[in-house]
This record gives sequence, C-alpha cells and structure tokens, in this order.
Amino acid sequence: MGVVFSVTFGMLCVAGLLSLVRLLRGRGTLDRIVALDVFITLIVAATCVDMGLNRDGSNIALAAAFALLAFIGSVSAARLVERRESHR
Amino acid sequence: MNWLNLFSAVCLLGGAASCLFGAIGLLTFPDVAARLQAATKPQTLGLILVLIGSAVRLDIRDASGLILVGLFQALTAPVLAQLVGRAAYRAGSVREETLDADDLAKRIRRERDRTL
Repeated sequence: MGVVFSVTFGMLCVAGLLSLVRLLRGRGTLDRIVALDVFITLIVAATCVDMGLNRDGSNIALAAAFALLAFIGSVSAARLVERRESHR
Repeated sequence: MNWLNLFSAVCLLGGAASCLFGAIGLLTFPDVAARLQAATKPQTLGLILVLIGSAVRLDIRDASGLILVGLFQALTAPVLAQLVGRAAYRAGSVREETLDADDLAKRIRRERDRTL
C-alpha cells in the first residue's frame, strides 16, 4: 500500500509541474486561468490522498475551501477577461 | 479488508493517472478550447476517483465530506468551462476552422444590430 501511495503522489506531482509549465508558457490570460484551476484541483486531490494515507479526516475543510476558492477566482477572472474583450 | 485495499489502490492509481493525462493534454493541445476540454473532464474524473479511493479508508463521517468535495467539483467545472470558453471566443483565440457550428456568432451579430 505504501508503494501505491508513493506512485499516486508522484503522478500528481508530475501533473502539477506540467500545469505550472503551461502557466508560465500560456499564450494569454485564459490559458493561465485554466492552468491555475488545474493546479488547485491537483492540490485538492493531493490533500485527499494525504487524508487516505494517514486515515485522518481533519483536512476536509481545507480541501473544500480550496475547491471553493478555485471556482470563485477562476470565474471572476474569466468574467473580467470577457468584459475587457467585448468592449474592444 | 484486503479487498478494500485493492479497490482503494485501483481507484487511487486510476485517478492519479487521469489527472496526469489531463495535465499532458493541457500542455500539448493547440488552442484554448481543446485545453479546456483537457482541463475539465480528466481532472474531474481523476479527482472523483481519488476521493473514492481515499473515502473507503476513512470512517463514514469523514467520507461524507469527501463526497461533498467531489460533488462540488463536478458541479463547478462545467460552469467554469462555459465562461472561459465564451471569453476565449470573444478574445479571438478559438480558431474558426476547428468549429463545426458557430451559434455564438449569430447571437453576437444580432446584438450588434440591435444596438446600432
């Protein structure tokens, strides 16, 4: 079971690095918004894997707060970009 | 108990692999619409699988919170995809030759005619 958790964390870390590469490279604001949303989703997933590893459910509030913050931030940023583009 | 461990391992590995494929697609796809597809579906599927794999190792009170997180992600990912896709269309970063049907162009034209 330890090997399973190590491989899971490894895959999540590689995915996070790839989304950070897209965040640095992305052509324009919308790509970066999407990359950040993916990154925060990966943080939530890693938090939940950590809870399963330690059999301890005290970080659920953290995971829920991260999911909420990701949604609110991404949606407001997307609305701003759209407003800026439609007035052009 | 051994069967529960096996189920949890399959869910955790499958979910992490799905998240990894989504991130690879985020890097390799050409435009914003395709990247959105790669960012929403595999990420949501991977997160829900990881949540299931973790929830079977916790007691029922904590597992209910994990179900709530998964439900929230499944509800909000389509909303985000809709908003970002529309903003990308208005920013001109969706290439026209990749579209089969373009309903938003007609609507934008109608709005413009109404304001003139």
